[in-house]
Amino acid sequence: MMLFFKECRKILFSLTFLIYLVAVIGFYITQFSHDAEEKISQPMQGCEDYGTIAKEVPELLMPEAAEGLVTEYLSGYYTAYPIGFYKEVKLSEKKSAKIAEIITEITGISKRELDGFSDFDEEGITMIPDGNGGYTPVVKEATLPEINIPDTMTYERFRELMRKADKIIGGGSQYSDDNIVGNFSLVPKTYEDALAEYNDIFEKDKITGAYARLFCDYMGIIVSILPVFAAAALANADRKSRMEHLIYTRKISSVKLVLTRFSALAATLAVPVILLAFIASFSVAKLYPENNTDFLAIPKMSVGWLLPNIMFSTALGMALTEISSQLMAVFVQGALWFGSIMRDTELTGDIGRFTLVCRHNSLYDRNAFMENFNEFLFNRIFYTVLAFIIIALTIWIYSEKRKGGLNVIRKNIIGKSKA
Amino acid sequence: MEKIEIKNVNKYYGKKHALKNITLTIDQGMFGLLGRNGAGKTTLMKTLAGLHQKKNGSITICGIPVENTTEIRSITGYLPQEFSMYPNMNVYEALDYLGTLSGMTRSERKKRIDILLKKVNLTEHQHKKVKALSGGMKRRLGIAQALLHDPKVLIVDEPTAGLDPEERIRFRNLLTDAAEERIVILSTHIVGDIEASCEDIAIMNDGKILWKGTVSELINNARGNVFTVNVPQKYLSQIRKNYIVTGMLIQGDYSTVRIVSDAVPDLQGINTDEPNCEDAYMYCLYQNGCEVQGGDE
Repeated sequence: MMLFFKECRKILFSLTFLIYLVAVIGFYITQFSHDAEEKISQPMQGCEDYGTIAKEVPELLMPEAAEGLVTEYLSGYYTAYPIGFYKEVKLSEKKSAKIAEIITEITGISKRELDGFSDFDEEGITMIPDGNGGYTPVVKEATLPEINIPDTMTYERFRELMRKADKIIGGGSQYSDDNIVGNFSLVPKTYEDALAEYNDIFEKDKITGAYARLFCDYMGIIVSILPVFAAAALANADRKSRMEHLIYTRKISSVKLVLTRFSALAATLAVPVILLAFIASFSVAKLYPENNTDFLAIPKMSVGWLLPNIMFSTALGMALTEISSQLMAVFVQGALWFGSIMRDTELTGDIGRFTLVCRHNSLYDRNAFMENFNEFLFNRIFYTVLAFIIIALTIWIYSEKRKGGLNVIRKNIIGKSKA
Repeated sequence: MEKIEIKNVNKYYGKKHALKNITLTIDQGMFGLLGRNGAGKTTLMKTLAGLHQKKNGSITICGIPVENTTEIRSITGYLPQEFSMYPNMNVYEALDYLGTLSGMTRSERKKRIDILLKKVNLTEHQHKKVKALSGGMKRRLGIAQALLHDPKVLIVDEPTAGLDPEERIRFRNLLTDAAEERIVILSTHIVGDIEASCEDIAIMNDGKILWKGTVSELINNARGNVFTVNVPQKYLSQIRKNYIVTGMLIQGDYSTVRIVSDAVPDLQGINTDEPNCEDAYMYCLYQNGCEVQGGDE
């Protein structure tokens, strides 16, 4: 325990932690604090729009998904998130022909007819010479074939074909079982839906639950990247201070040292976030003096939602710094973070199994979040377990380095990256 | 069992054969490992400290095989050639942190740190940040951290390089004190350090042990092979070209030159002289076929 406190002290007095602290507080103030002053409004009867909700309606889903598949077939690119990160898939001719077969079975449009829409990829603005030495912009819109799904196509067969298409694309596409309803079967919410959701926020979420989701959405963005800087700096501190060999030759086991450092990092980086969660709870409770709010909802959700991100980013930062360099750790975590943030997806409730940065950028849409709650749980457990696996790997790397075992590999990696 | 036994140890860095069949026994007291830069001293030191793995052979430290790293780390103290500590920690905090990593309790740390700071003359600087210490003070802090957990073996790699003469003497005395109750291995390329503090020594070159024994045996080995001659300065470059020159004293137009050689040099007025440790070391290198430049820079 003594070592844990000493490591915490080292981190707390470091410049990287100060920067982290300023960034986290700054992000809270600029992003969340305004929302924490906004009261959740009760839906008014007679409104035109209450938003949308994903509901499995075959009559809606089938034509929408078929159109989506035709559009992607004609563009030649398919959007997918195979392991939670955006990927633009380009299929081989053979696989593309298989997609065409699926479209033919669903819509009756032959491959030849489909390929007749060759002007699809010329969509956009073209500059045409106007004869006077200038150019005139001409907007060319793509035309899609008319899609009619015959009555003979059953919903079960349709879903089977969509699964097949997803498999050809490589999984994680819009047509997978996990994504198809959310992508192609959005129905408008009714007043009753909106009111039920509002009541759930007050009764089940005790109000603060809704703010907790928004708080974690914002803070998740920053705690998914910044801990890597602190972790990399701490892991590199021994090397930078030329203290490596003094520490390597100490009696302490690599397991104890790495685990203590990891715990100290995770704890010191989590504490400011948890404190902000209490501040947020206090602000929200002040907004609803007449209601019985759950004061611990935001801190509790922060632990479950944000701690896995802090742990994962910290573990990756430590591992990559040990095996390679600080720069490599920041680069890899930065790439993962950027890929997750730039996902072309809804910001409310659309949480994939492997999404690094979980988003729910709304005080409302409780149902959208709850529908994906199992995915969310899987996701958070996955990143927690992954963090421990990476730490186990870090322990092994550290132990080998102490015996001089991995220095050759490290020198090679650094040597190559410098070259 | 208070000894280190090294038997037929080999170590490679890729294709480079860094330690070549090293066999050595080191008993309690001060042991000097002398050799040029790049001779393999640091590699041997690191192998003893468990920081490098040998290819084959065996090493036991006080009866414990070097592969048992946890036990080895608890009985050895190591001071590397190049080191520092967290610059923003003060002297006491740095030692306290390293003591914690050695598994010492708070009271053990307090007691040992106070004793060692006194011993290395850093008590009044204990609240000074590491980054504010001079080179000599940093070295003394280094020896304190290596002795913190009261190890049976102290491994010290090139500790006096870059120190002024006063600090060097002070440092050597610290090592001599430490050697009263433990094995101290001092690796250096500075012959004066060995001569002043070690009885038993080994000379390394190109990964091999060229010579092992006492300092007096090394000097005896060179007896009859050290010569002095008084020559006009204009012949100096010629002499340096043909002989191994270990010293020159310029006096006006003449210089007194020390030469080590197997045969009596064919120079007018040549005299046999008593070898010192430096002459003996140079003679040992020469005797073992090493390329020795002598005074020719």
